[in-house]
Amino acid sequence: MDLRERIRHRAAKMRQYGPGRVAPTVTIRKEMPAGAWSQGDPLERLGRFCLAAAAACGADPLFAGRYDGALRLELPPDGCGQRVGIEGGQRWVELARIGPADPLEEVLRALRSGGDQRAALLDHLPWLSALRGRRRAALEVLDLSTLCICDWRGVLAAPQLARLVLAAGELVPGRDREVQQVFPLLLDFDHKLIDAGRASRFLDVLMHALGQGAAWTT
Amino acid sequence: MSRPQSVPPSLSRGELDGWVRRRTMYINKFHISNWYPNCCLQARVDLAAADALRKRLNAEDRDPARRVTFSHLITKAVANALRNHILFNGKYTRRDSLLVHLRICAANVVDTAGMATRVVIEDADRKTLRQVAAETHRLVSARRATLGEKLDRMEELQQSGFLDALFWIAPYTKRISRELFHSRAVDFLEDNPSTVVITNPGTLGVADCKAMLFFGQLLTCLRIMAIEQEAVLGDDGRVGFRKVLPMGLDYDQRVCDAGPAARLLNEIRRNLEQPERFAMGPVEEVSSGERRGA
Repeated sequence: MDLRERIRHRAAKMRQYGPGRVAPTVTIRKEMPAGAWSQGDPLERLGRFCLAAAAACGADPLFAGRYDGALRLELPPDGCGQRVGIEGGQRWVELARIGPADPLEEVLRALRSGGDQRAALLDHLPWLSALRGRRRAALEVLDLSTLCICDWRGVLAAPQLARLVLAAGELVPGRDREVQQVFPLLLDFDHKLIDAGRASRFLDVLMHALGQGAAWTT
Repeated sequence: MSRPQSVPPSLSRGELDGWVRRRTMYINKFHISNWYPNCCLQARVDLAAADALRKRLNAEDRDPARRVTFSHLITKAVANALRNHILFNGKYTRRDSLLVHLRICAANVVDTAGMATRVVIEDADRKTLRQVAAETHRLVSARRATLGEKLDRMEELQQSGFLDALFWIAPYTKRISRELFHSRAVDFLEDNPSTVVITNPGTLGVADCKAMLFFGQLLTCLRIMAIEQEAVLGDDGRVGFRKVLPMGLDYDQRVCDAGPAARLLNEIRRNLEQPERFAMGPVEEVSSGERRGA
């Protein structure tokens, strides 16, 4: 792909992040100690992360909502969907409906097979949006842990309200002054509608779900 | 997986029904016309001396209404440092004009249920650490008690339709936006104006916080993160650990460069690392000719 083709290919993204569309984005970071949830191959870890994100979305659906700038906020239906960017967004998988009680194997199957291929394709061809109809509210989950990226600061464009990022694990001094591995969890959110307190509680629920691990230890 | 027990009760779909309406003034406050090209500097403060001072003061006076926390020490350290870097005590009056205040009114962001608000310590540099602590405790309790009532009054105004009209008009008319909507609405919730804001997501366990652009009316914003353990190499060659407080300073790049901002941040760090000398009492006055940071 030459440069001209590449720019043409990115035109839709450039419009999406154009003036007036970009949201006042704040990124907060919390660190989740490695544990049962991070065992296994990276895709398994991402699958568990998606299940925990579904639990957090169930607790506070605002983070999967859409806001176009009017007085109306579009919230996702129960068992909201996720758009999962594997390998830093090299491959996007649309999970149309995911709940915290879903079996891990099912999520992994969807992640391996590419989920809803049609929705993912249309996602990257925005000029075909008329054929697709309105995009449903869903949470964006981006996996950077396989690319050794340990920090992130993102930018959101309307109507997206939040983005959840899993960064690569790093070694830090633990509470007992022993070295422990932690995975940074980063959350971009639109400060117009969400405060840091609410975002922090969302990450707390996510970390609680990751630590609880009932869905994948059985 | 069952619903996690730590979910706060306020998070529900019912609450989200009128969420946008409730956040109207914040939506306008963070409108693109209020964004500034910001820079952020970060530093780490050794907390050993501040921790010892805090424990000593709290052992001397066990009254919970006067208890000193790290937040109070930070407020006092920032206010004392700003007295010597008064340029950073500015507030925008319009998009491209700035008013530098001589009174230092430090605002602390307080997390209430779903709606952040700020309490303002007026003349924080002229007060003692104990006075700052007592006033902060009093203001936070009062704010938590009255915020709900104020939000209800705002909602009544919004239901009248007047604020809905402003929602559409305000972003496109700077004068209305700034003078009728943002300042009045925010000051209405805060009671009194602030000149510098200190936000402390670290109390919620946030390890880092970054904002894409500086927004709002204040020139300077100090962000405090969760306390961390940092590895240090001792004189004997052994690795030890110490408590450090990561903090970030946001400022408008159009108004000042990194140098003055770094000197301000360094002075805040010095005040916190030597609190007995620099963050206990009122700041020593310096003449205007000696003021740095401009």
